[in-house]
Amino acid sequence: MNCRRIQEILSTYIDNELPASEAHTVREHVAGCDRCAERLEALRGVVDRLHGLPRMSMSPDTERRLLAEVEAVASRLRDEPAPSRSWSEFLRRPALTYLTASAAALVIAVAVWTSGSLEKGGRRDTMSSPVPRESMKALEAAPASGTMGVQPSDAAGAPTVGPSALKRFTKEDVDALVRTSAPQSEDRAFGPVDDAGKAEGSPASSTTLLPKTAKQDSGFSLERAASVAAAGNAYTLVTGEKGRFDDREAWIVVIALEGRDRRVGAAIAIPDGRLLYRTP
Amino acid sequence: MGAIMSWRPTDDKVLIDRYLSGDLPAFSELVKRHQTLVYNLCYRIVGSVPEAEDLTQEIFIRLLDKIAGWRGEAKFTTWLYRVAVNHCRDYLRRRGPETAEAEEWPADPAPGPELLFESRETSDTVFAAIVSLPVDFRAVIFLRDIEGLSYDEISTVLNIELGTVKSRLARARARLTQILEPMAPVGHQRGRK
Repeated sequence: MNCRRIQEILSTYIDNELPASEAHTVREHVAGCDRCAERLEALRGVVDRLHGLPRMSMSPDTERRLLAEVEAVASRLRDEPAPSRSWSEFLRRPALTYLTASAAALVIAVAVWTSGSLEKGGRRDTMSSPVPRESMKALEAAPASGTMGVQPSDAAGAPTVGPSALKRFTKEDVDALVRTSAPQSEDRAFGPVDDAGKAEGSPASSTTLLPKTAKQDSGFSLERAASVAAAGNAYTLVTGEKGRFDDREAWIVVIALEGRDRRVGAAIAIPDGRLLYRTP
Repeated sequence: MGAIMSWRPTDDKVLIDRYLSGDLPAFSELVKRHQTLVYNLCYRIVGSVPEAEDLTQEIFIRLLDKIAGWRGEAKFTTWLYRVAVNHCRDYLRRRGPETAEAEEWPADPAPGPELLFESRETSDTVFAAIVSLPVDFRAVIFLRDIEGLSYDEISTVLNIELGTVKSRLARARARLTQILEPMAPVGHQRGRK
C-alpha cells in the first residue's frame, strides 16, 4: 500500500476498526515510513485532545428554566380538548412544530377556541362556553365554501351548507390545489378578491387574501400560516383559505418556494400553528 | 419486581411508557436524565451557549410529542442523539453560515509554554476548530471522539452506511489535524483528561 492509501485508513486504524490484515499492513508500513508515522502521531494527538474536552453542563438556573418550560407545555398539551383519544394516541398526531415560538399564542388561542363542538361535524354550534364575543363573531362570519382566487377543478367535496361552515380539505385536495393554482405575477403575493365588494367588506372573511382582513382573525393569520409552511425558506404566498382539515380548523395554504419552481401545499391548524400536512 | 427496582435506576423505556400513559412527571425525569447529553451535543455542534440552551429546550419540547414515535427498538439515547443532531442541523441550515467562529481562535500562535499549560485555552482552541468544520463533520467528531459511540451506533444515529462513517470521520479528523497540528503540544504535554 502507498502512503496516500495508508493515510486514508489511519483514522479507522486508531479506532481498531480495520480488518486484521489491513491493520497489520498499516503497522508494517508505519514502522518503516517517517512521514506516515508522523501523521499517525499527529492524528493520535488530535484525538487525545478531543477526548480531553470537558463535558459542559447548563447552570442550575438554566436547568430549572428548561424543566419549567417543558412542564408548562406538557400541561397545556394535556389540557387541550381531545377527549376521545388516549394520551399516547393523542401524541401520535402530526408533529408539533413551532410550539416554542407560538407558546404564548397557544394560551390565548386555547381560551378562545375551547369548545367541544369543534370536534363535531362541520358546523359550529352557538355554545355557552366562555368564548369572547368578538371571536364568536369571527367564527360565525367565516364563509362557507372555498372561493379561492383559483378554483381547483378537482377539489373534493361540495361546499358545506351554512354561513359558518368551512370547506373540508383532505390531503388529496391540498395536493390538487398545488397542481392547479396558478401563482400571481411576481409581486402580487395574494390572489384576486372574490365577489369583490362583498368579500372586501366583511371583516373576518378568510377567502379574501388581503393581509389586513386575514389579520382580523383570532391572532393566527394567513401570513403566519404561510410562514410556517415555508419552514424558514423564502416564499411567496400563492393562495390561502380557511377550511377544515382532519377535523380541525386550519389554514390551507399554497406557497411558492423562492429560488425553485416548486409549490408547496400545506394545512396549518389554527390557532396553535401546528402543521398538519405538507405536500411532498 | 419490587426488589430489583429498588436498587436499579428506572429504565428509560419504563419512564417513557409511564409518560405515554399520562404520567407527566415521568417525562420530567427523562429531561433531568438526558439534558446534559442533549446540551453538550447542541453546544459542540452549534457552538454557542445561548443557542445550545434554546435548542435543548426546543428539542425536549418537541420530544413531548415525538417520543410517541419511538418504537423501543434501539437504545433511547441513540434515538435521542438522532433527534438532536437533526434538530441542530435544521437550525444551522435555517440560520445560515456565520463567520463569527473563525475569529474565536488565534490564526497562528507560536506554541509557547503558556499554551501548553493553559488547558482552558487549548480546549477553546479545539472547540473553535470543531465549530469551523461543516456540520456533518462536527457531528461525527462529537459522536465518536467526544461521546465515544461505536461506529455502528454512529451509523444508526446519522442514518448513514458504516463505510460513510469511516470515511467521514477520517476526513473530519484530517481536517482538524490540519488546523490544530501547528499548535500540537510537543513531547510530554499531551491532551489529558
